[in-house]
Amino acid sequence: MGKNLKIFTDGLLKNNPTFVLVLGMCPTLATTTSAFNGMGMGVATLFVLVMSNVVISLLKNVIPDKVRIPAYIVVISSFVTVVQLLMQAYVQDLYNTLGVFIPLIVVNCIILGRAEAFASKNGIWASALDGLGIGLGFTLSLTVVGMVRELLGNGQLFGLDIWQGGGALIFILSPGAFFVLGYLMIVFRKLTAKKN
Amino acid sequence: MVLMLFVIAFVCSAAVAGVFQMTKEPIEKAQAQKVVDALRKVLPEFDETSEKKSVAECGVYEAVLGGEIVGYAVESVSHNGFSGDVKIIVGFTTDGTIYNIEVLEQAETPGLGANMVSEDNVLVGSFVGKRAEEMNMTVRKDGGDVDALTAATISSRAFSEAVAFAYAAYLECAAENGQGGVDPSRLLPESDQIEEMELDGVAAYKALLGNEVVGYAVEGRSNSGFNGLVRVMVGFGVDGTIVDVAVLEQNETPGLGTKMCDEGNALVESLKGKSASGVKFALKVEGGDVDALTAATVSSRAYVEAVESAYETFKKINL
Repeated sequence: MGKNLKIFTDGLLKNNPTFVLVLGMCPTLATTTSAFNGMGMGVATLFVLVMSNVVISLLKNVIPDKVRIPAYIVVISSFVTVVQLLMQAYVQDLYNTLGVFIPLIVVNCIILGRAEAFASKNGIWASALDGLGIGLGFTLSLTVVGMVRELLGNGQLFGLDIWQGGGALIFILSPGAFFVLGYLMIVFRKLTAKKN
Repeated sequence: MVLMLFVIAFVCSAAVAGVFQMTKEPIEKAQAQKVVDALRKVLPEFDETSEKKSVAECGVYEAVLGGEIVGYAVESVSHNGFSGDVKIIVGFTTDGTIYNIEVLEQAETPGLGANMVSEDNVLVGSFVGKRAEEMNMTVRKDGGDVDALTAATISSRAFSEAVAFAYAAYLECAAENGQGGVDPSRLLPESDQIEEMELDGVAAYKALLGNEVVGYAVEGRSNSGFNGLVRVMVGFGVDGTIVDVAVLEQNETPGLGTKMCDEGNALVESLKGKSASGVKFALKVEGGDVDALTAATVSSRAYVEAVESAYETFKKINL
C-alpha cells in the first residue's frame, strides 16, 4: 500500500505535470482564464488519463512494440472523443468554452507520456493510480492557475464577485498566463523543496 | 502486428460509435434547448415559433401568439470579430423595435470583447428598446449610436455589424408579411384612426380625425440607390404638405448614404413642412430644392426619387 500511495502522491507533487514536469503547457496557458474552465479542462484530462492508462496497461503485452505509439494514440483519441461527446451532451456551456482544447487532449504530452513511461511497464492498479495522481495534479494546478488569474484579472472566484470593479485585465490575457504560471512555479518549488 | 493494430482500432471505433449513439439524442436536445432558451430571451411572449428560414444569409424565426405574428428572432453572424465569428440572435417586435439580443457564439478576448455576453453591458444596452430604423448601427467612434465596450472596438464593431445584418433580414421578412418597419402615426398629422390601404401594390395609410381624412402616409421607392433599392414612407397632409419622411429600407454606404436614416438630416429637413406641389424634386446642385447629404449624391438622388414616387401615388389617392 505504501508503494501505491507513493505512486499517487508522486503525481501530485514530485511529478506534478504542470509545475515540475512542465508538460501540457498549451491547454494550461489557454484554458485557465477562470477557475472553472481550468478545472473543467483538468477533469476532462483526468478522465482520459485514467482510462487510457488502464487500457494501455491491460494491452501492454499484446501491443507489438513497433506499433505501440499508433496503438496508444488510437486508444487515447477514442477516450477523448467519448469525453467530447459526453460534455457536448451534458455540460454544453463548458464544452463551448473549452472549444478546440477538448479534441487537443489527444496530443497532450502528459497522456502519451504516462502511457509510454508508466502504463506500458506497470500493472493495471498502479497505472490507474498513476493516472489518478497525475490527473489530479494537473486538475489542481490548472484550477489554482485559473483561480489566481480570475481573481487578479476579474475580481472573481468561480464566477462569484470577491471585490467590485474587476482587476488587471492582463492576467486574463495570454501574458498573464505566463506571469501566473511562472510565479506559481516558484512558490511550488519553494514549498516542495522544504519537504524534501 | 498489423492485425493487432487493426483489432485495437476496430474495438475503439466500436466504442466511440456506441457512445455517439448514446449521446446523440441528449446532444440534439441540448442544442434545441439552447435555441429555445435564446428565443424566449430575445422575444416577447409567444406560443410557438416557425421553423428557421433563411433570409439574406440570416436565420429567421417568426414568433406567433394566438395565430398572429408578434415578433421575429434573427440569427446573424459577423465574420469581423477580433478572433473569429460573432454569432448573435436579435429579437424584433413587429414595429421594428429591438426587443433583446443574445450572443450565441463568440471567441473574443476574455475580459474585453467577451464582455458582450455579460449581463447589462453597454453594447447590448445601446440597442435594446430602440427602434432599429432610427439608429445608426455603428459605434460612436465611427459616427454611430452604439456605445462600444471599453477597449474592444473591433468586437463592438462586429457585434453592431451582426445586428445590422439581422435588421436587414428582419425588414425583408416583415415586408413579406406586410409589416413595415415604421409606425405611420408619427408621419401623419394628428388623427384618431389610421386605416391601412393599398394602391397599385404600394402600401399606404389613411389618417382620420373624427371621420374626416386628414392625411396619407404613402410608400415610395427608387431603384437607383448607390447599392440598389431605397424605400421610404412619406406622410402627407390632405393639402399636400409633407409631414415627415422615414426610410424603410436602404443599403447605402455606412456613414455616408446611411445618414438618410438619421433624425434631422439635410434631406428630410429640406422636405419637411413644404407643400409637395411646390417642391422641385431634385437636388440643389442639379437645380432642385433638396439639400444633398455630404459625399452621398447618388444616395440623395435616390431618396428624392423615392419621395417623388410617393408623391405621385399620393396624388392618385387624394383626388
